Amino acid sequence: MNASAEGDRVGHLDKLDTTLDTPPPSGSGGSTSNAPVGRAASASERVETNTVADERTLDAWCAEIEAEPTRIRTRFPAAAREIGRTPGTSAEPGAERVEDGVRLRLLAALGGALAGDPDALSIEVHDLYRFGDADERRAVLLGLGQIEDLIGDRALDLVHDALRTNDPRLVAAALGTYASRLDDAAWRQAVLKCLFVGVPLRLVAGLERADDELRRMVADYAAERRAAGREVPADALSFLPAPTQTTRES
Amino acid sequence: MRIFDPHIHMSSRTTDDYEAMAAAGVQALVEPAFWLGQPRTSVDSFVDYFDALVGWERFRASQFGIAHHCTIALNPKEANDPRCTPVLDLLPRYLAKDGVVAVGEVGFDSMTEDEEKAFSRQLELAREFALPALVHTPHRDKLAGTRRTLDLVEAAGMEPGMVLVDHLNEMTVDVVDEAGAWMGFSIYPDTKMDPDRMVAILQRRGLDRVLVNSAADWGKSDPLRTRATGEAMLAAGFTEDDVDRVLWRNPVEFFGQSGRLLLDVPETGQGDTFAGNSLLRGERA
Repeated sequence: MNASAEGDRVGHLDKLDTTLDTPPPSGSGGSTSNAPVGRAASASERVETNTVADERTLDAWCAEIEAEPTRIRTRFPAAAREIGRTPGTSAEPGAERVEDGVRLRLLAALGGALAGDPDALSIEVHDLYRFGDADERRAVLLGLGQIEDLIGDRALDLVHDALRTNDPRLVAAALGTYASRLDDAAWRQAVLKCLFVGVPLRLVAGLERADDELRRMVADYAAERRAAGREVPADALSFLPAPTQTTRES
Repeated sequence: MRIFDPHIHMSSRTTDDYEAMAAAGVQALVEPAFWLGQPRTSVDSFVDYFDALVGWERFRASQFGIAHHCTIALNPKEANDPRCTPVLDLLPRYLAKDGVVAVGEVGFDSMTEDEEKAFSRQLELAREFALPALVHTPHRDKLAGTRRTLDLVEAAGMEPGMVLVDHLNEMTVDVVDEAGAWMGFSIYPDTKMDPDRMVAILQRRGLDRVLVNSAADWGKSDPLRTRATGEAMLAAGFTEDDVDRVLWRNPVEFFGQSGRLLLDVPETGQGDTFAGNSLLRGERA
């Protein structure tokens, strides 16, 4: 059953809970129905994490989501441990991680399944983010660009949410191509925040959008750093006129 | 000395604590879901808290090279508030996540009927999600509460090896030991248990199924009590391998049963000492 018409958040969740332990619907193909959701293995059955994505299982999960989009609710959180992940947790923004690539594929499958129903797609994407951990949220943000034509502006609030965090991994993930939909003021603040929290600007898509107002903001930021005797990040310097000039612009 | 603190409430600690813990050898920890000092009055407060446990707090810890895990549950205190109990219906969302290594803290605070109902329901969830359970034992009427806890665990059909009964002391350790469950000890500056008493218990009954934690939280507590206990063990004649077993391999073995550990331990020079499996390198158990 598709939950797209379900406006009530609690009712929506109740439905999710009942799906957590049920195998995929028979319509999704027999080959996928045995794929674990990460709760069945006993101590003796466990295997090592795949550091290279298990493409066969991933293909099966994508097919399953295309047939029954709500399956993404249980597949998305389990994707890292069941399909593949880069070991460890890193505080580095923009680091390439196997599980991000896996989850992007699942999101693409969801987009394909709900291509004709952008509101349903939006609800599903919002719930993946709302109930996701930091890794899942990062993947949702990274995936917005690839479903942009389908979802339009509907997920822009997720970008705003991520930009309110102080987690540089989320801030970086929020500033892909989809962030071009931010208005000028929000986009400038986002770039400035990158300088503050240490997100390299090479991770920001469409930096050519930088205008005089952003350059003024960065110049003020650089002046404040210098006044405090602190170093100005190289990324900030790249926005400024030649170093010998004053940082003020009229 | 490498340390896995199996019970510490980092949400109530500062970044200075993270720094000191990393310097003392803490490389991994488990933060059990509990109350916030000030009682919650709505389910939404739980959701934001759980989000922090699987999001922000994990990030904070990663900045200090510490692998942060958590357990998720409705705690015993707040199980008594009908405004909070509907959170039970949201738990499955979180129990499916990487890094969520047990259902907990569950158990008793004042031994009420409502507490028992929430406790039993969450033991069912632990079985359903193949997760271990982390059980808090009450501050008041501790021995009776511990016995009742073990009865409920048995009634729920949980394997004792999947259950950690925490905050034990000299009066409660033996009943838990006899039941075959894991024994947790919270080493505090003043109350509960101190390093020397902990060493005496280890000398008496050995190292099997024993976990030592700092349980540092909002109260007077010290996130380095795990390290102090390791040093007290060495001073009492235990070997470095004994200390490694209690402070690292035991918690990895217990929580590894979840299949959800996110360990990525830097080179320690100790190699693969845990049964030759990949746990030390941080993959799924």
